Amino acid sequence: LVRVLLDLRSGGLALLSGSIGDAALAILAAALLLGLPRLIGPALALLCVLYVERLFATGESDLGILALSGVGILLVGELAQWSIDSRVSGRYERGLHVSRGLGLMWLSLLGVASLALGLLAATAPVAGGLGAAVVAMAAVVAASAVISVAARRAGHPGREA
Amino acid sequence: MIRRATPRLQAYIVLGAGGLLAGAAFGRPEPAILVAPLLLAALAGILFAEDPGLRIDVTAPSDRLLEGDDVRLDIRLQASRRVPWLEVALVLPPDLIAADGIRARGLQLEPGVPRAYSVLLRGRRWGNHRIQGVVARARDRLGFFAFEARIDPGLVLRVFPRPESIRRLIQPAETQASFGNQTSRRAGDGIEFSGVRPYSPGDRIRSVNWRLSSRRTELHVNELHPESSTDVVILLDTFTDLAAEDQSSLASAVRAVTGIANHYLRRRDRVGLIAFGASIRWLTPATGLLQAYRIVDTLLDATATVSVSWKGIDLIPPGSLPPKALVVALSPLVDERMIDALFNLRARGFDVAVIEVRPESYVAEPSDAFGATARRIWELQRAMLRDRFARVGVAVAPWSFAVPLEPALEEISVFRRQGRLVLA
Repeated sequence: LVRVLLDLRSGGLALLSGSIGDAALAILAAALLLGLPRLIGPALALLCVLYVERLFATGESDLGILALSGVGILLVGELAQWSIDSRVSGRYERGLHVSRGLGLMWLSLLGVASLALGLLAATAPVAGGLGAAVVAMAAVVAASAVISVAARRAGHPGREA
Repeated sequence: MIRRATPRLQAYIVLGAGGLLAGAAFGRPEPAILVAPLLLAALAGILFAEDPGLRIDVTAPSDRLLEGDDVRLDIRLQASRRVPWLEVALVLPPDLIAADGIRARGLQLEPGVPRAYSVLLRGRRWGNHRIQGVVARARDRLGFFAFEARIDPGLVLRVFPRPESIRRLIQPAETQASFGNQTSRRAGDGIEFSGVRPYSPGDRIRSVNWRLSSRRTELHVNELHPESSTDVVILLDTFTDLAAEDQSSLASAVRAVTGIANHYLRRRDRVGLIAFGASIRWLTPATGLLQAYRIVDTLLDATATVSVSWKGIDLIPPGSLPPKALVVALSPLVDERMIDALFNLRARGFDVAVIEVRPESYVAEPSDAFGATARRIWELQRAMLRDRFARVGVAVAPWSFAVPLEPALEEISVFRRQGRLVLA
């Protein structure tokens, strides 16, 4: 994924994208080697930054790379978490990993579907101007806040379910 | 159960929000489309997360075992919802281990269908060991949430010390009046021939030695040794517990105490126990199987706790030290209070024998010349201490956990036999 996203048009850009890619790989390696799931998020963030850097540096939107990056980032996060979850020493049934693998496949399909929907929505003509953009941004922030609050409530450590 | 979100969920939401914001800010759809799978996965995770309604039952068919033996622990699980990823782990005390080395299991549960599995636990060291808990962690289908529960099964496994095998015991200097298996030094009714003496009124006719009497002018009777019982008090030093790797002086001493006590009790002797240390626990001498159980029960709670207060034998209840009792002490002889107590007991006329649980076995070999000199001085001091005991008639036999107890007991017996010859 990092190799696909590298921007090699000039020495400076190659250095910049290479540094971001290396940092993402280093953090991911640390997360896997040390078994720290908290480091998965920063590694994924750097992969997203790598894509955005390429997008704005080249200015061209390649749908193939976008789809690959979207599903790839999701798969990197899921596989890394799966690897860390399996580190607990003990005797595990084979069915556990089969079930997790099926879940991951299902999630990947969901990711592809969401990408397709996103692309369809992006290509649809939307009327408006600066006002519509501001409203859209507010809606995005509100939606993010609702999701965050829901996640926070669900994951409150002291809450008895 | 406590529900916890994994850090991945938070990361997906933050990245999703960031991508949406970046898309809106730069007026390009690509950043928002890039993070759409992450946002959708997070949403799906939140929507599908449900408490599995897990129930855990832990039972043990038997709560008693010998050191080194295994006991089965049955774990029964049931959930009201499907659990695709369940981890169950036992929280065990250090001296209780899983026999196959596997403490955690990963399994799946179908709704309403109970599942059970067994774990073999091995007692590494004697004592009352409480199973500290069973921890279960159920993950949802996408692994975004973990439902955690910890239950206390309230199970205490009693691991009895494996007794040292003994064939011969220390013969006491004096016996009690009651009937037993130990040949008394006194003359009386018994089986063992003691000697002959002139007849005196009151002697039974069947005691007359006719062969000797026919050669003399007066009647002579045979004298016999009666079989009497012995009072044995085992004095266990709980001031000190020297440890190295998985062995400790107290653990070894307790195994020896169990072996010695069982052997004397099998001979119908009365056996008492005094665990002499920071706290003093005692059992007045008694005989029988019940006393064997009492001794083991008392030993299971024997621990060496740090104390700086001076404790002498005055604190020991008189009833637990009957007159003419043989006192068998097991001690590494490193605490002054124990050494002083042993000298005091001897000064009060008790028949004392000491099995020294060698402290050298638990001390690392010196690594330099200074350490070697210090070690040599220490060993000389210990030799002097043994000599002091020998001079007051107390046999001290060094014993290490790596060798059988039998030679140490034999050494004490030899010392006591030679001591009698010298005194005669």
